[in-house]
Amino acid sequence: MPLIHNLLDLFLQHLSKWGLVWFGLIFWGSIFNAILERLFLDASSLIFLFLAYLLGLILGLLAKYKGWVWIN
Amino acid sequence: MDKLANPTYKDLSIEEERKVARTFMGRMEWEMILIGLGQVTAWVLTWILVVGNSIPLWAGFFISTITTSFAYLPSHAGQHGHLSGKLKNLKWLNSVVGQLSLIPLAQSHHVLKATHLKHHAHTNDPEKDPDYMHTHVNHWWQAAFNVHLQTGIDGKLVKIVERFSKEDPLFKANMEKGGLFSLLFLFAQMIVVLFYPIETFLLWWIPRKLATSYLGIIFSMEPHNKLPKGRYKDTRLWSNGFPRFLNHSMQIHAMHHMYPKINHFDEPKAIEALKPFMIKRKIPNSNILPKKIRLNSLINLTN
Repeated sequence: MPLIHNLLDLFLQHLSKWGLVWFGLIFWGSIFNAILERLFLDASSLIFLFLAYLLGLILGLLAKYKGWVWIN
Repeated sequence: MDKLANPTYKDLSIEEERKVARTFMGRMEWEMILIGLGQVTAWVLTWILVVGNSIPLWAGFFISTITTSFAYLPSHAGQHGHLSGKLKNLKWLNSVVGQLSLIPLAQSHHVLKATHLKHHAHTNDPEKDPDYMHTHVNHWWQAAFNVHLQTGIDGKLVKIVERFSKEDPLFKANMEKGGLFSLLFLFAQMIVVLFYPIETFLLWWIPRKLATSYLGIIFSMEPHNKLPKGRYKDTRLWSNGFPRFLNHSMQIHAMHHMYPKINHFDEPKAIEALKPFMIKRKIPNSNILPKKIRLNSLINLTN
């Protein structure tokens, strides 16, 4: 039990620092990907997928360092 | 109670004021339970209908924005214990309905309760009022933006929360309990967006941002903007040309700050009864308040 408790603690600490970055990557990355898919016919290619999630990650990092909590 | 509709009191003491106010307290506010559960049900149904292609996404966005704007008030009623009234065995309704109602806003009932009660205790105090940053602004659009920005790096709200967490164990406990729900909502959005990205954006993210801006303007800025501290000075009666329904009756929010235990739906008749006391205490704009508040749209205060 203490091990689970410690792991949960570490996880929560990680999220409190990096939650916005994960949110940018997953949430905004998915939205950017969906928008690109609608805009471009061949958007299912890996390049577009990579680009969308990279944009999401950049937004998440900017949010973390600039305090843009509005992204979540 | 109707005897109180046009009251003429000889005694305008605090004791008499409290005696009158108490007659409006303690009712279980079933209307708010209906609104809370109704709007979250409508929100979930909208999702189901959009995902099932029964209604177009734009219609879902429109419906979701309207239902989400009704999400906060039931939680607010729960924060003040209105949902159970004086029925102690139904106290759980306050947090259960309050939390369910907040799903479209992706907010924690416990976090909002902790910060809202501090707002009541320290209204308009720049160092202690958690709503201060989006309340004391020069334009409505600043309230609409600031309400989203205040927890950012060096955000004042973070400092206020840290301070109260050190000083008040109950506040800290509520914030910790509520923090888990906040995390849950963070995960929920990240999971749902993987399967329904555009839907999550247009049925959840944008509607809750619009609703939060609306709350910042109507619930915080309009009633408190640029007013000083003090029980009878910190909230005004106001109008903006829109009927009361579109403002969630926040034109009479001053009544709520005077007696937070009076239910939202009982405030109009409470004001009719307490108007002489409000004028005596010089609550901002109480002198121009119409006699009849019930079924009054309050498009302007003097109609």
